Amino acid sequence: MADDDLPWVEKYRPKTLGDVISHEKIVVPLKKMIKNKRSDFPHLLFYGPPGTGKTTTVRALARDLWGPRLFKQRVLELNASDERGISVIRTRVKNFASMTATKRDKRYPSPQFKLIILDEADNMTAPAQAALRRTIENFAGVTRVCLICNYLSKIISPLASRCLKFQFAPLPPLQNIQRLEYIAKEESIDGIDDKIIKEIVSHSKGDMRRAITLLQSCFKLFGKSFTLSDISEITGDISSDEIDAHFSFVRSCPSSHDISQFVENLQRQGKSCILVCEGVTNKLLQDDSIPSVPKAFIVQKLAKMDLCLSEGGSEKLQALDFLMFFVAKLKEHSS
Amino acid sequence: MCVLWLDKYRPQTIKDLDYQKESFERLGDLVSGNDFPHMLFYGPPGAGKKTRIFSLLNKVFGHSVDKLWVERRKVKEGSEQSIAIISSPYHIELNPSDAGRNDRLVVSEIIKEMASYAAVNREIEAEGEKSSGLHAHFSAAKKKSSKHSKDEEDDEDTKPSHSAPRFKVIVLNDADMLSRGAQQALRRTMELYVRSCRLILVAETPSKIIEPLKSRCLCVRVPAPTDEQVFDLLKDVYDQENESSRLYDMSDSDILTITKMCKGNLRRGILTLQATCAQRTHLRKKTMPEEAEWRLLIHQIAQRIIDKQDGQALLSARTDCYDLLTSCIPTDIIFEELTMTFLQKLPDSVHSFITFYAALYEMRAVKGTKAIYHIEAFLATVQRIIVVNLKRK
Repeated sequence: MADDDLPWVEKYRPKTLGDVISHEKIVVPLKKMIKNKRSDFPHLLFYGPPGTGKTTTVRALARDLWGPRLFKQRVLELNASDERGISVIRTRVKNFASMTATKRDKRYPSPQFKLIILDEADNMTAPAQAALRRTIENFAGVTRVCLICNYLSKIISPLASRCLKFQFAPLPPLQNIQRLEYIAKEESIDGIDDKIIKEIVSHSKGDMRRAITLLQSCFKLFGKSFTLSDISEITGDISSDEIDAHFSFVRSCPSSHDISQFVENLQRQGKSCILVCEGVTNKLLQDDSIPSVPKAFIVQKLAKMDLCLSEGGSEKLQALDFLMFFVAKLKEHSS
Repeated sequence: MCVLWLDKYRPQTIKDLDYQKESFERLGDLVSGNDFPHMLFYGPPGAGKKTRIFSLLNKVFGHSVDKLWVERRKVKEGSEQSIAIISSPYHIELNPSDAGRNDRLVVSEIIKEMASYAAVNREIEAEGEKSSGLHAHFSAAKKKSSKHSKDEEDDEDTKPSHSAPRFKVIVLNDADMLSRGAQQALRRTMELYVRSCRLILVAETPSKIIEPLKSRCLCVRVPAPTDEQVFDLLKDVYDQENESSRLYDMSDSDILTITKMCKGNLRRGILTLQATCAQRTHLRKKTMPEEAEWRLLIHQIAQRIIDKQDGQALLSARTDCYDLLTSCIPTDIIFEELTMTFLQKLPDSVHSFITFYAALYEMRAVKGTKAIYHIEAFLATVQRIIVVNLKRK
């Protein structure tokens, strides 16, 4: 399949470590390890928020080590979509780990070990992680492991202590902007407004994948002339203008009838009530004219609501409850 | 006669859409180019998410997406549970949350398998295109109807201008009901098989979809139509029906009542319209458009709690609640409907208590195993609220 058919995120995914533009502190030592050609390559643990290039980096690393031809033989990639219970660790991973690799590709360093990439490792159960402990030590001569996760705390500490840890921070805006401009140039979208790119970057909060997807969908949907509100429409976020309007609505101490009407309207428009609640609370915190006591209560309530929602509570009822509480607290303290 | 008006008047192509046409025409342009992103459609029920997805698929693949068949697949070798899969040569539609706690397996087994064999399917299609005789034979065998020749013509008309896309589309319904684990499992699947398949997630609210999935998708909001739009559409459907048969006698005000009732849920609106029309002609009754029975029952329960606050009222509410639950009305809907009724009928001073307890007990009902306890607890609490706040003064 031609590369044209691929989404830009895949098309512009760095293929080698040299292409990785960010994370010098990670890429430079990795490159050194490749150059050394010695077998003291450590186990790796990459952690950081989504879209910062963890998977990309490890794949680029593997490509630099063995080249595309040997890639399939030397690398076992398991992610959350694969069964990764304790039995799989015992059989599949162990089998793969215990094989010795001999084939070499002369154009690449081709060290004598294999790589197991465990993507989204924070989703593995603790027993499965525990089963990995001895496995990775026993076969350290022929196999290296790279764990990738969002939250370091979900990896059991004996496993984490066996690995060299790299933190992937959210990409700084400048690098994000440069990359987006590069892609825009490659795709020959000329004359794109700097402001738009900045807006996309600030929306994606350091998540490169999100930024690129956004750029592509904006460009394809609206052509060259798209506005800021188009962007928030596509991300499913709520634009700051709307939040302002919602905030002045709840500030006006509406009756409970109005509030329930308000929630129903939001639902009809398909907007996420929860995002509105969050946005309104943010606005409240920035408003200096409101005393801090109600603010504290409201923030507590927001936290409770988040818990209830993650337990599977109904969005409508939770939002209704939150907004009622919000307005009641404001009333209490303004009178 | 036995056709649902809902299906009869469902827009088939993007051109036929009645509202939000412009943004979808743009989307149509996007997908008919070669890059078809993963998408997340979200919006309230009955707003037309599915209709829009099908019109998009129609645009990309032509009429062959209409040739549907259904199969059932075991979630796992040897397990009892199975889920239904609706598929056409180019797309698959499934509802992973049907598998309940096993939804992660559906994602990791079935979707992955589907995603990887899409490539083989493409070759067959490509061959079929080379020798159109084979293609015709293939579709003739599928259809076995006299309509076949007409279909072929249509195929020519709507055949996308570019070469046929080389991927399959997987539509996942109720994506917001997927467990965290299942959503996590989708993450890499979406990237690894991007060459052979694209996913369309359908959800009611985007807030229950995890961030990494959202960042891989183009999010498309499908808001419910406004009351005016609903009214116009209902009127349109009604006029078209009545023109041929002249059977019905609905006034504009009747249609307006239906519009008010359905609150932007077009599916409900059209179904109610047809039901009311049918009742009037076949039963020769002058019925007014009616709320669904279960809604009325919920209103009755609420009314009884408001009228009387004692064990007797609670006991009679219990039997009604059992009726609701056994007829498969979801718990969250019961809670929402009860709360809205209480809010309407009780004075403002107690509203914040009611919403507080509604949110609390609803959450508990989801976490717990027996919904009936939590509904009763809520009703009892409302009784208490009424006694303490309204009666004692």
